[in-house]
Amino acid sequence: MHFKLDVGKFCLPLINRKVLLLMKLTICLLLMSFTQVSATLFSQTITFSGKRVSIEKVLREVEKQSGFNLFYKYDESLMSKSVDVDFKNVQLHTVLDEILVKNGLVYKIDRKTITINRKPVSNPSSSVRTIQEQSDDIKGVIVDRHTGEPLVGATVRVKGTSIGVAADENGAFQLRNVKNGSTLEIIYTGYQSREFVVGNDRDVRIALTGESDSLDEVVITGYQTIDKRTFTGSVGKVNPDDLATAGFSDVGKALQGMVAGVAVENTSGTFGTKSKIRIRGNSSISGNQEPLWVIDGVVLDDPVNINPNQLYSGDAATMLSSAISGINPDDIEDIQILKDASATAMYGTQAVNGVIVVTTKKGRVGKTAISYKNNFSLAMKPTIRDFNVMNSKQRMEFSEELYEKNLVDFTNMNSTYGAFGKLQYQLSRKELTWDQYYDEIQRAKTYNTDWFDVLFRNSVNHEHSASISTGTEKAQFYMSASYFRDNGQTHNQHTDRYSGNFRGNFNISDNFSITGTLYGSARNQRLFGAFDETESGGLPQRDFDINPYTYARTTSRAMRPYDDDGNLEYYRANFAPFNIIHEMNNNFVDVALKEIRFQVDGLWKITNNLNLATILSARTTSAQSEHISTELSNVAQSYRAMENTAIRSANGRLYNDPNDDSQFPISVLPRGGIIILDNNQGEFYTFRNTLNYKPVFHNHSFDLMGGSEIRQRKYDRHGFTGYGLEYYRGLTSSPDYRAIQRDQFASNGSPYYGMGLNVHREASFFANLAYTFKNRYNLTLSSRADGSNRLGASERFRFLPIWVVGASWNVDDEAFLQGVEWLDFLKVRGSYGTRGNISGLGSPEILAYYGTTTRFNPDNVEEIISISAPDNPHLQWEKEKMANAALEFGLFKRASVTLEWYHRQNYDLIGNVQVSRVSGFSTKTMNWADMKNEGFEITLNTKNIDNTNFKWSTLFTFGYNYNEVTRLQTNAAVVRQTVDRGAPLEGRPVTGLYSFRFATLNADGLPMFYTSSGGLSNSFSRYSTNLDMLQYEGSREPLGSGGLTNQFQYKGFQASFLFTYAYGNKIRLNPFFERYYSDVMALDGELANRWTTPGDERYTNIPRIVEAETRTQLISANAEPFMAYNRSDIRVASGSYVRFKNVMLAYDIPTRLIQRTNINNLKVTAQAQNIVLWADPKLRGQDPEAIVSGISIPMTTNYTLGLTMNF
Amino acid sequence: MKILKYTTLLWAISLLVSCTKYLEINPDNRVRLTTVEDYQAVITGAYPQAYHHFTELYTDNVRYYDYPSYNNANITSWLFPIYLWSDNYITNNAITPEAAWRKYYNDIYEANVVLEGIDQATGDDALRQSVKGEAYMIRAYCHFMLVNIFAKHYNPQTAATDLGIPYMLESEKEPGQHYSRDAIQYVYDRIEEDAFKALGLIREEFMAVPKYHWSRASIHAFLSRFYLFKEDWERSLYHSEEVFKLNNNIRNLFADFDAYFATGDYNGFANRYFETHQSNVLLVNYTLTWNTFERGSLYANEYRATFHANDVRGRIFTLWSAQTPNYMARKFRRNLPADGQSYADVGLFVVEEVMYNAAEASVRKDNPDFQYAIDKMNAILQQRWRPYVALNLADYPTQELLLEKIIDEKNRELCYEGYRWFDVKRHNIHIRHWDGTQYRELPPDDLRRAVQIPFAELEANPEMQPNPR
Repeated sequence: MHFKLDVGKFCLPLINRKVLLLMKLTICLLLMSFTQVSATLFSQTITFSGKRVSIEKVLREVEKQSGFNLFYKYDESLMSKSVDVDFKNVQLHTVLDEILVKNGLVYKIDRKTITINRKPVSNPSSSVRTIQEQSDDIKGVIVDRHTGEPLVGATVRVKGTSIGVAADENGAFQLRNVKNGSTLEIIYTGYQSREFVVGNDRDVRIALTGESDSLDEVVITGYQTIDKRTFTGSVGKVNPDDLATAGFSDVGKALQGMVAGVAVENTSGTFGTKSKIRIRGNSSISGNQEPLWVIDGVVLDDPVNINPNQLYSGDAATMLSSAISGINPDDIEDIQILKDASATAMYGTQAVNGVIVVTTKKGRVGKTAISYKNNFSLAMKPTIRDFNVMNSKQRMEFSEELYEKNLVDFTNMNSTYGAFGKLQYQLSRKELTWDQYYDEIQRAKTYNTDWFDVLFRNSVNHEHSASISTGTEKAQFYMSASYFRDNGQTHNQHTDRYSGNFRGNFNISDNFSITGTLYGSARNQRLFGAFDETESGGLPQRDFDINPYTYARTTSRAMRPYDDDGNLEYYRANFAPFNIIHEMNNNFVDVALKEIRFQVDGLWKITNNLNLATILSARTTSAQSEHISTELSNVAQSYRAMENTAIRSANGRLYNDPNDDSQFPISVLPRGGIIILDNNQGEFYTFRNTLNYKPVFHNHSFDLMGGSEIRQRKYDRHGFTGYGLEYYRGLTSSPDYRAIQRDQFASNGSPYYGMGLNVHREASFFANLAYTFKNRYNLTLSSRADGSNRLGASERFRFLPIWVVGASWNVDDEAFLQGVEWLDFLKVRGSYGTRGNISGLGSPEILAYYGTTTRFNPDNVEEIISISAPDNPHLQWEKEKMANAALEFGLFKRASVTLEWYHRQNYDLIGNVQVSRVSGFSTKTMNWADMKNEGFEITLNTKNIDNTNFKWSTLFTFGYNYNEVTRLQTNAAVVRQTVDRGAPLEGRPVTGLYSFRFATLNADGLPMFYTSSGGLSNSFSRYSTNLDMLQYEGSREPLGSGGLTNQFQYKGFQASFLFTYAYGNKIRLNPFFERYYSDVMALDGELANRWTTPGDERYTNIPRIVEAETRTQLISANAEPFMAYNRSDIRVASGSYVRFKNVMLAYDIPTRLIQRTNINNLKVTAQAQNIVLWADPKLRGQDPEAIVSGISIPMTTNYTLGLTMNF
Repeated sequence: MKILKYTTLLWAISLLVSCTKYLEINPDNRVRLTTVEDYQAVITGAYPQAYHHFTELYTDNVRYYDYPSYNNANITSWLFPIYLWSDNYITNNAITPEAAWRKYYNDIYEANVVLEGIDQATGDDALRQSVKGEAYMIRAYCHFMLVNIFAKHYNPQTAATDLGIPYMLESEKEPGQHYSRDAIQYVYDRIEEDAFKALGLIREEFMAVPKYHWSRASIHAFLSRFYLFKEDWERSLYHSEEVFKLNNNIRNLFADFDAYFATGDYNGFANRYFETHQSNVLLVNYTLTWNTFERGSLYANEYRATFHANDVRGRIFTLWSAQTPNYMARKFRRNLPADGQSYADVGLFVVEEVMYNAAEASVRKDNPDFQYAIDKMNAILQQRWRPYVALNLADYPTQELLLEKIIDEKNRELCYEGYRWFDVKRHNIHIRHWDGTQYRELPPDDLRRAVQIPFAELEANPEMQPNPR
C-alpha cells in the first residue's frame, strides 16, 4: 500500500505495473479502500529475516513496517543483489546501515522520507588539476537552489551520449570534451531534472529545484508557468499552509498581511461578502477596483452582476459578490498575486487591479494519499461595554429632560416609541396610572440591557474536508469534498457550504494530455432581512434596518427584550409593534447559491519545443435570494397599520386606490407578508488557444507564446416582489390586487416583476515573447488586444492593445559573484507597460430601453422608449501606465529580501460626472480624471534559528502607497466632499477625508465652524462649492499596511503568530449629534457632557439638545450644524491600527503514538483570530476596518480547533 | 494528429472572421433606434410633466405651518426654503427649481435626438413629419417654461439683452460642454419658430391617446399664452379664437358638484378633475403632485376664506382636515404608489386658461374691448356661482380694475395648478409670507422673481451666469 517511488525513467517496471493495478483498484473501490486498509503495524524498529533475499525486497519490507517512503533510483545490479538478513526489533537506521552502506549506497532520512543514492565516487583531487587547462572540458558544482547545499551524487550526463559522471561530496563534477552547445542533463532524486546548455563559460554552477518546493520556483500566470529566475514581473506568493483560513473558509478574507502591497480590509464578517482587496492602491474612482480572481487559468466571475458602488453597501446582493467564497480552501495548492504590468500582461484590459491566481490541487503519481481535515471554531460575541453609550439611567434622564423641556413630540408617538415613549403612550391611553407610570420609569433606569448579549451568541462553525489523490504515469486523479457550517453569530442566521471537486489528468500519448475538472459547490445561507440602501439628501438610508450589530450598538439600554413574564416586550417602529428578536425570526433573507464548473485543458506537444494548449471552461451559477418578511413581521404589520385616522394619514405605506373613490388610505397587504425574490443565473464560457514555442540556441533561449481567447459572461436576472405570502400557513399566497396596482403606478418604483439580461463578450489576442541570454539576462515583451461588445458599434475603440516590456538580470550567476559565499541569490528586475480597465460604467452609444407610460386608465397606456444615458463616442477604457523596479536577494542562507518600487499612472478614469443639465443630463459617464499611485514594498523572509529541533522563521511584509488625483473635471459641493468614505479632489488622494472646522460652541450651545474667510458660522449651504471652509484630514485608506508572521517549530510543535497593521489614514467617528433624538436610540455617552446652560461652552464641545423652535429657525437660516458637527474635525480619529490577527499552535502527533492506526500523520491545530486590536482610543470600540451597514457585521474574535489526518 | 492540426487552424481562422459578429451582440435589452415608430416611442416618453408646479409655493395661495415629524425632517420642511424664495433648498427632491431645470432640459434632449435621427429612420413619411412636429413643439414649450421661471419676465424694451436660458437646437455631441445664457429675445424667437413648424406638421390621427399629445388646439393654446407673455395682444387674441373654434367647452362644475358632493364622494371629484374625457382639457400629463406638500396642506386658509359662499369653487377645490393646520387641495388624485410619491394627471392646457388669456388680451390691446372680457368671464362664472350673478361692465370702469378682476378670477379658477406665479411675475404682485415668527416680503421688481439657476448647474457649468441677487 505504501510505495511512493520515483517513477521517472529509471523506475522499476514491476512496481510500475503494480501501481497501475492499484490505481484501478483505487478508482473502483475508493471508499472501500478507505476502510479496508490493512492493519499493518508501523514501527521504528524492523523485524525481518531471510536468506538470499534481494536488497529491494528488504527495502520494501522496511517501507512497509516503518511507514516511511523510499526514494531511490532503480539500479538493477544493486537492487537484485542478494543479502542474508536477520533483524529482530532492530532500529531502522541500523537496518539501513547494514543493507545499504555496506553495499556502496548512502541514505538520508528526512521526516518520513528515506532517500537512497549511490555512494559518490571520490575523484582524486590531482586529476582535477591536470585536466582543467583543456578548453573543451567543463567543471562545475551542482547545488540545491533553495539552500545552496551541494547535491552529493547527482548524475551529470551529456545528453545523447553515454558520457556521465556523479558529483562528489562537494557537489563538484567535471567532464571532458564537451563542445559548446552540448546539453548537460542533471538528474538527482527528489529534484526536478534539468538541462543545461554549455556555452563559453566552463566553470558553472547549476542549481536544481527540489520537487517538493517546485512551486516556490515557478510563477503561474494562468497563461504560462515560468521559471521564477527568468520572470521579469512582480509576483507575491502565498503559501496556503500559512493562510489563516480556519474560521473564515473564505480565501479572500484570509489574505490579509500575507503579501506586501496587497491591502485587505475585511469590511464585513458576513460570509460571502467581498473583502476589500487593493493591490498597490486604487486604480479607479468610480469603476471596478477589485482584483481579478483566476482559478486554474480561467477568470472567476462573480455570480451576480453588481455595480462597483454597491459592493460595500451591505445590500443583500453583496452576500453573493465574492465568487471565491465558493472555493474550498483545502483544494488550493498555491496562490500567486500578480502585481505589476509585466506579470499581468496576459490579462490585458481586465488586469489593472492586479490578478490573484489560484491553482488547485491535482492528483499525483504514486501511492494513494488520503487526507481529512476539520475545524471547529467558536466566534465570541461582542459586548456593549466596548462602546461608549449611555446606560439606562442616563438615557431615561435624558428623555425626562426632553419631556420637561416640552421637546417630546407626541404627534409621532404613533410611529415610533421606545422605553419612555411607551410609558407615555400607555399613560395617555390610561393603561397605566400615574403611580405606575413613575414606578415604571424608575424601573426602566435599571434595565441596562446589553443588546449584544441578547442578540448574539458564541457560535460554533465547523468545517470538514477530505481529499484523495492518486495516479500513475498515464493518469492522475484528485477528488475532494467539503462541508462548512456556520451557525451564525445571531439568532436565525446560518451558512452551509458544500463543495465537491474531481480532477483527472490523462496522458493519452507521449505528446498529448488532457486535464478535466469538475467542480461543484452549493451554499445556503440565512441572514436577517435587509432592504436595499437608498439615498436621500446625500445621505444613505435603509428602511426597516434590523442589522443586529447596528441594533445592539444603537438601541437604548433602557429598553428590554422580555417583559416581567418572560414574554417578548414590544415597542413600536413604523407604526407597528416591534421587538428585535421577533423581527429577526420573521424578517430574513435566504440565499441559495449553486455553482458548477467544468474545465478541459488540452496540451499537445507538437515537437519537443512547440506545443499547443487549449482551455475550454464552462461555469454556471444560480444565485437566488429570497427576502421574506412573514405576516407577523413588523414590516408586514406596518403595511397594514391603520388603526386610527391619524395613523392612516401619516403612514406612507398605505395606498389610495385611484379607482376607488371616497376611500381613506388602505393597506395593500390585508393578509400575509412580503417576499422579494431575486434570481440570478450566470453562464460563463472561456475558450482559449495558445501556441508556445521554446527554442534554445546556444546561450539564447526563447519562449514565444501567442494565442486567442473568447469569453462570454451572461447574467440572466429575474425577480418579483410578492405581497400576501402566508408564511405560517403553508407558504400559501393571498395577494391583494392593489399591491400590484400600487407598484404599477410608481413611475420609478419597484415593478411587480422584472427581468434583465446582460451579455458581456470579449475577444482577445495576445502574444508574449521571452528571451533569456546565458540564463542571466531576461527580456519579456507582451502585448494583448481586447475587444468587448460593451463598447458599442464603434470599431475604433473596440480593441485596445496594451503592451508591456520587462527585463531582469540574475546577478548571482555572474562570474564575479561566484565566490561570494554569503550571497545566495541576487536579482534585479524592472518592467514598464500599460494596462486597462473596463469600468462597467457607461457606453459610447445611446442607452435606450422600452417602457410604457404610467397612466391611471389602462386604456391610455402607450409604449415609450426612454433614453437612460446619452451617447459618448469619445468614451475610452480606463488606462494605466505602470513602472516597476525590484531588487531580490538572499543572504547567508538565512534571509531573503524583496524590495520593490512602483509608479502607476492611471488616466482616462471613467466616472459619472456632474455636467451642465442643459445637456439633458445631470451626470454623464465620461473620462474625467487622472491619478497616480506611487509606492514601495518590502518582503523580508528570515530563518532566525534553523536547528534540527528548533526552527524560527519570520515573514515581514510592508507596503506603502501614495495616491494622488492629478486631474478631476468637476467640483463637488461640501456635502459630497465630506462623506465618511472619502471623496476625490485634485492634488489629494482619491479617498481623502474632509471635515468642517469646528471652532467653538456659541453662547446658545450650538456648534460654530470656521468659514473660508476665517469667520464663525453655522449657516452655510450644503451645496456650497466653496471647499476652502473644509479641512483635509488625510486619506481614508491606509498609506502603509502589511503583516508580521513569526513561525516557530520545535520537534512536532509549531506555532505561528500573525500581526497585521495599517497606518496613515483617518476615519470618521460614528455620528451622534442629531436634529431629533429618537426615544429608541442609545445615545453616545459623550452627550452626557453636553452643553446645558450658558457658560458651559467654556468646558465642553458637545452641543445641546435642539428644540422645535430652534429647529425651525435653523432650517430657515439654511443652517445644518448637525451634519457639519458630525462631519467636523473633532469627529475624526486615526485609522492606524495593529491587530493581533492570528495565533496558531499545531502539533504533529508522534508516529509512535499512531502506529496502530492507518494514519500516516496526524496534526492537531488550535487557532485564535482577531485577538487584540490596538487603535486610536477615540474610536471607542468602532472597528477601524469595518463598514457596518445592511447585512455586514464586523469580524469578531474566534477560536478554532482543527485536525488534519493523512492516510 | 493532422486532423487536430487542421481543426485548430480552422478554429483560429473562424475566430478571426467571426470576431466582429461575436462582439456585435447587445450587452443587455437596449434598443437601437432604427424606425420611425421607435422615434415616436421616444417622443411619447419626452412629454414634459407639470414641473412648474413648485412655483405655487412662491405665491399667495399658500401659507406654511411647521408640521414636524418626530424623527425626520419631512418633505414639508424641505419645502420651507422654497416657500421663503430662498436659493438654498434641498435638491434630491422632485419638487424643486433644480428638478424643473433638469427635467425640462432632459425632455429637450430627447426631442433633439428625435429631430436629429428621424430622417434616417425607416417608416411612414407622414408619421415621420407628425413626430417631428411633436418634437418641435416639446422643444418650444420646455424652453418657454424655463425662460419664464429662470429669467426675468419678457420686456420688449430690454429682451434683446436680458439674460434668458440656453436654447438647445441640437443634442450635445461632446460630453462636458459649458453653456452660456441666450438673450430672452433670442429664446422667444426660437420658440416662435419651433411652435409654428409644429403647427404645420402635427397630424392628430397618428396619436393613440390624443389628450396626452400636442394637438392643433393645444398648440394654439400655447401660442395664446406665448403672445400674452410677449405682450403681443392681437396675436394672443387671434390664437385664443383659433382654440375656441376647435374647442370652447367650459367645465360644468355644477354637474360635478351635484354628482359627487351630494353623495359625499369627494375623492371621485378629485380623481376625475383632469381625466381625458373632460372636454375642457386640451393637454394633460401624468405628473408628480406636490407629494406630502399636498397632504401636509400648504394651501392657505387665508386664501380659501376669500371665496364667496356662493362660489362653489371654494368648497369643491379644497378639503378641510382636522389632522392638518391648513386646507388640502382637491384637484388632484391622491394616489400613493410604491415609490412614496403622489401622482396625478395634471392639465397643462385647459380651455378656461385660454378664456382668461383672451380676456386679458382684449383689455390690453390697442383698442380694448372690455365687454369681450366680461363676457368671457361670465361664460365661466355661469357654471361657478350658485345663484349666478353676472359681472357687470359698470363695476369695472378702468382697465386697471378690470385687469385685476381677470387675474383674480383666473387664480380662483386655476388655483394650485401652477399658473399663479407667472401672473404674479407679469403683474408684479406683492407677496408676503409668514415664516412662523414674522412676515417676509416679496416686493414688486424683487430680483428673486427670476428664480436662481440651480446650484448644481452653476457648479458644473462655470459659463452659466447666475441671476443677480
